[in-house]
Order: sequence, then C-alpha cells, then structure tokens
Amino acid sequence: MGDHKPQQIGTASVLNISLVVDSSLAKEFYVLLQTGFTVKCLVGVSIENLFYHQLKLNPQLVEEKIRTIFLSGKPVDDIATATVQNGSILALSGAMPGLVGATLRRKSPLASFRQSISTQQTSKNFKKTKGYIQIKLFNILLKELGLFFLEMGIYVPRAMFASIVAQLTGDFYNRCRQILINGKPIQLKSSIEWFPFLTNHDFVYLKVLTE
Amino acid sequence: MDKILRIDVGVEGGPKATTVPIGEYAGLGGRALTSAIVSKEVPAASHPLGEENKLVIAPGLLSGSMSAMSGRISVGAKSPLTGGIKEANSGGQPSQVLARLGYAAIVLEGKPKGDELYKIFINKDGVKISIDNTLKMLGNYDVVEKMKKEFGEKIACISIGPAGEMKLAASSVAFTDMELRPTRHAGRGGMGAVMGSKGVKVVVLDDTGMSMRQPKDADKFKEVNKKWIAGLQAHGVTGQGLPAYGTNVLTNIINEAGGYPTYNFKEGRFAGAAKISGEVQAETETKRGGLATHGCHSGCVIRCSGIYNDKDGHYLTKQPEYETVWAHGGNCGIDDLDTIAMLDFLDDNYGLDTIDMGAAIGVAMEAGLLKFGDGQGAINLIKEVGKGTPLGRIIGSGAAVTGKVFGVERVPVVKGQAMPAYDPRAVQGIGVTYATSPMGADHTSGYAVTSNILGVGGKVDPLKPEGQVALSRALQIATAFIDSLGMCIFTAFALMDQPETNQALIDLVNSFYGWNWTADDTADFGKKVLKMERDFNIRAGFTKEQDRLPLFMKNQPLAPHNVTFQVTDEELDQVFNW
Repeated sequence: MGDHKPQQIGTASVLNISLVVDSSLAKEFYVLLQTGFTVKCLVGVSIENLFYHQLKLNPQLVEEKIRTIFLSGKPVDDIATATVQNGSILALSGAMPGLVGATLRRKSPLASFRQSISTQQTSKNFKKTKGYIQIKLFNILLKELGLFFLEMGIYVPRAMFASIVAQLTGDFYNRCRQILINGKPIQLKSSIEWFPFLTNHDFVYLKVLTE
Repeated sequence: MDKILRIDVGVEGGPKATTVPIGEYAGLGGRALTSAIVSKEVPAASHPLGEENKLVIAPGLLSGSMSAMSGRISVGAKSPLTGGIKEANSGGQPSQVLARLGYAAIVLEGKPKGDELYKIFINKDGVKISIDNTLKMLGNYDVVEKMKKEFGEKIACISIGPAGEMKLAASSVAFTDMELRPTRHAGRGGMGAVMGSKGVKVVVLDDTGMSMRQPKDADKFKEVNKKWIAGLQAHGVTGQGLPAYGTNVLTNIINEAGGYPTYNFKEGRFAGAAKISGEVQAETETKRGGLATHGCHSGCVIRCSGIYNDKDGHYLTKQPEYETVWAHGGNCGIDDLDTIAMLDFLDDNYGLDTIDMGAAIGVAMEAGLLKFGDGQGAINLIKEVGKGTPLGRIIGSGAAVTGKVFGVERVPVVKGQAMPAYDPRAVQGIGVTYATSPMGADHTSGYAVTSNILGVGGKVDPLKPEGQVALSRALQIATAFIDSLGMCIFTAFALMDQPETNQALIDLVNSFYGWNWTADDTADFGKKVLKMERDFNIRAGFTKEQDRLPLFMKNQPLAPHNVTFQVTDEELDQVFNW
C-alpha cells in the first residue's frame, strides 16, 4: 500500500485535503508517516542539502536524533555525500537498540557488519532538478517531525488515505475544527462520507494543521 | 550468594536438597557460573535428558543488589536442541529474589526414579520439596495461580509448562514478572525439557525477611550506581527509544534495511511490517488501557516491556518482543498484532521458545502444511503442541526437526537452533556470530557493544571486511561478561556510546566485590567463559563444520538487495583465535 513510486505524482490526479484539528488528533495520521509519504523537492542533491537548505531542519536535531538513515533501503553513513534522486525513498529513525540496530546507525563502529548493503559514496554530478521523493518517519522521529511534515503537506496514495479515514471514529469528527477539500469547507460526520470525494483521484495532498 | 543449592532428584525416597559453599566457583555468576558447572560436572557425551545432565539456574553477580538493571538470570545445561552447552537467560523477578536468599545457583541433578512431579519451595528457613501431581500438564499461568493460592503473593516462580514436561526440544523455563505472571522466559535451547527431565514443575521463591545484598564499598557503590542510572537514562536508545516502543521498535528499520526475514527467510522485506511495528503496537496498547512502557523486573530503569490487552481491554499477554513479533509475524506472513499476541500468550503458557516456534511454523508453511499468513492456522498449530499431539510434538521440537519431518530444504538453523530476526545475508556480521557462537544461532551471543570494543580481541578497522570476524569475537567476549553480571543486555548501547557509563559498570562490580578490575580484566573474564563453552562443545563432538550457516544462505540471494552470505569458512574459523 505504501510502495508507490513517488515520481508518479507528477502526472497523477491529486485531491487537496486540509484539516484543522485538535493537536491530540494529529497522531491518527502517523501511520501514513511511517508507511511512507511523498514530498516535492529539489533532487540530485545531498541528504544534507535536503535537510538543511530545503527542509530547514535544526542541525542539532539532525545530529542527535536522526541517527539512522536509509536511502532506498541502504544504510547511510555520510549525509554530505549520499544523494537523493527523483523517486528515492528516504527513511529516518532514531538510534536503535539491538546489535543490528546499532549496526545500522550512521557511522556505526559496527558498519562493516552491513557493508554489503550500505549506501556507497555517490557522484556529485547529478542534475539538480525538481522531483519527488518518498519519506518514512520511524519511532522517535514521528514525535519530532510528524507535525512538521503534516503541516508542510504530504502526498499519499488515495488507498492509503482511505484506510486511515476508515478507522476514524465519531470523536475525531467532533474534535476536527475544519475540513477543506480542494479549498472548499466541507462538513463530514462519518468516514463513509469521504469516499465520493476520493473517487477518481490517485493521490491525496494532505495538510494537517493543529490548534 | 556464597552457597549453591544442589537438589539430587534421583535419590531413593525422593529428591534431596543439599546446600554447599560456592567453593571453587566463587567470583562467578550468571552465565559464567552455569557454564563453569556444566563444563566441569556434566560429561560432554551425556544425554541431555539423562541422569548425568544438570540444570543450573544462576542469578548474575550483581543480582539482588541495588544496582539497576541487574535482574537477569541464567539457565544452563547440555542442550537437547543443540547437543552442546547452553546458557539461556531471562528477566523477571526470580534473579533478585534468589540472590537475596543467598544462593549463587540452584543445581538440579540426577534422574527421578518415578514419574512424580515436584514443586520446590525456598525461603529464608530453607528448602521444602513436595510431590504435586495436580500440576501435571498445567500451563505456566495456571501453575503460578496455584502457587499464589498456596504460598501467597510475595513469591517469585520458576516453572515449566506442558512442553517442558513432554521434554520438547524447544521448551522454555518461565520466570514470573513484577505482576507475578510467567511472562519472562529462558527460551532458547530446550532448557524446559531438561527441567522436565528432572521431574521439577516449579520452584517457588520467597525472600521475605531477607534484605538487599550489600556491597563491600557502600558509598562508592551508591555513587557509581547513580552514574550508571544517569547514563542509561541519558542515552537515546535506553532513555527514549526502548521505553517508548519496546524492542519491537526494530521492525520498521530492519524491514527498511531489507534484513527482515520474511516467509521463512525467503525475502528480506515484509509488506505488512508497518501494521505490526513497535510504533503501532505501543499505540494499540495505550488505546486499550494496557501499558507501552513497563519494566520486567524490579530495578529496571529502561522499561522496554509493556502490557498487551485484547480488543475488550482485558489482559492478553505481556508486550510481545521484536523477535516474537517477527517470528510469528513477518516470518510467517502474519500482519495482525492480535494474532501475534495470542501466539505469544500460548508460547508463554505452554512454555515454548517464541523464536523456534515461529521458525518451525514458517518451515511448516513452506512445506505446505498451512499457508503463509494463516494466523488461525498458526494458533491451531501451537495448540497442538499444548495438547501433545504427534504433530504438536514435532513443531514443539523446533524448526530443525520440523524441517526434517516435512522435507524442507530452507531451514534457518545453526547447531539445530533457529535463527533470530535478522537475516545474515543483509547484515553479514551477525551471521558470523550466528555461525560461531557455542550456543547456536543466537542474536544475543554477540550483543554487548562496549566503548572499549575496538581494543578487545584485537585492533579492528570496522570499515574493512575482516573487521566482521574481529568484531564478532569482541562482541561475544563482551556479552559473556555482561551475561555473567545479571545485567540486561539492553544496557549495551549506553556502554557503546558513553565511555563514562561503561566505566560506571566496571566500577559497580569493583565496589560491590572489592575488586580492581579494568576493561581488560572484563575481556579476560569473557574469554574464559567462551573458552569453557567451546571446550565443552568440542568434547561433545562439535567440529568447525558446526560453525557454519545453512547452505541456502550462500546460494539463495535475499531480496531486495539480492545478497548472499559472503564470509568464508576460513574467516569463520578465525573467530576464536585470540
């Protein structure tokens, strides 16, 4: 369900959904964040460029909290040399337990254990262009960056969004301040009412603002 | 902890308990003590379920003290699963209680004359052994309930379920947690079967009237214990990741790395991983009124366990750990946490190793006995084990036996023991430990990562391929030391990253015992333990041919990275050349 190709979004039909919710409700969407969502950004650049120049992440957070990074499934040691490309999948995690968890960390003293799958230093000659990458947030980074990305806006496949709204209870609608679909305020009281809007769209561009 | 309780179950008229001074085993605890006794006293050629084998239960060197995280307990014997020496360890309350009662170990020896089932009660006044055949074939939960009624609620229990009584090779020994539930297990290697072969169903411990073990240098001990706790709480893994999500926090990242064994080690990534992740598990537990952060024994400050309630908010099981969620989850193609939690409960109740059970069911699925993803079918199979049907006894004997019976080629075992939740084709270094550990495929054998690791077992360049062998050696050495202290291995991550926390651990041992150990001494200690274990296995007939991964690891590439295990046999043979 989360294994969509990010670059498909450029030609897909996208439904814009904005929600204003009580801050405690934002975590209802965290499954989307760990399964994988897509953002539009400059690609052909290093992860470091993405973090600091595009997403404007706090360097202390990057150094202290984002301790495990995968670029298209391969552990990353050096964010200055690993390059994101159109369609890349970037997974971000805190420092993990277990021997293998420790092995997968950035610049782990146990890096040789996973040498055969590590991201190798990539070329600096990639063309810089606008593109789409998929991001996954795991564990402590859901708390650290979840709201940041939900407020910024994320693309998710329609089926993935539908599976989340299918689980929302009446309490969610009671505490949801506003729902905008393609910029128009809509009153929804139950999950089933979403589906006519979702039909005929491939992706949802979701923004969740909290109060 | 200056005495050993020896119970000879083979004496005419019933088991006889004798308390003897610790003697030549002084200075040893936990794994070091179980391995020393087994190595010295058990003939290597003996039958694991026979008269000559001994079951040794030993708290760690620091158990029973004020030291945080010191509640692990080791269980050792010749293993019916691997045929070699075994140490399996567990959390829970009995380690602290047994240590406070003053026992460095309980040793069950001999062979019972009849088929009576015994319970053993130990308190400050001594040891009482009685026949209790009403316990026959009861699950661990029912056994503990009966013990509570008989002895009150200030007890800790060590018990076996029906699997141990049936002497199944994947049976565990259960230890009660802080809620007096039998949720913590010395799971690996069939230690439950050895306890069953001694005719002992349960050991009940009551430390009423006993006090904490006192250190030689109380002031220093208090001071370094504070540093120790502060170091654990300051670290990202032990202070945040583990308390918030438990060990199952690993599901997402091991899956992302393509090292998550899926469909009986056929693939390295599971499409349903996010549904059974630690993040979702913690959220589910909280929503249902369970607990996502909870200790498994008193003195635990990491609190990586939890309580998993069913959909109606009733207790179902403790928070299933990563290895359990993987074994019964992705390895079997099951992506439903409630099904996995039920399997965890059944394993605990029958007294089974969750890793070997998940691996055995995965092998059975590969054989076509049931389909991958069939959660109810998996539950039914474990229930067969509990009932003791012929099929259940096959599954309960572990993945290796199941593979032989059903004619499966891809059987993920080393020395007969199922591999845990990390595919060594993706993370090759752990394959070195799986292959060479005296224990069989065991993720905890080379686990303790200490800040002095690069200086232990030789100088290592971690970026060179040969580093994998040297690192595995160093990890196995460091782990043997940690396992002997009774320390939870999850402390290892703070030890790796924070030299001051590593030093605090050594200072804890020194101030408690009045020793002057250095980091090098701890390495020598770890080497001594490994040497005893390797020596036993060699005498039991093991050769370097047993220090190998199964062949499919070398010739079946693992998706998505399409990698095979590349460490050569010659390199593996260098692990214990120090």
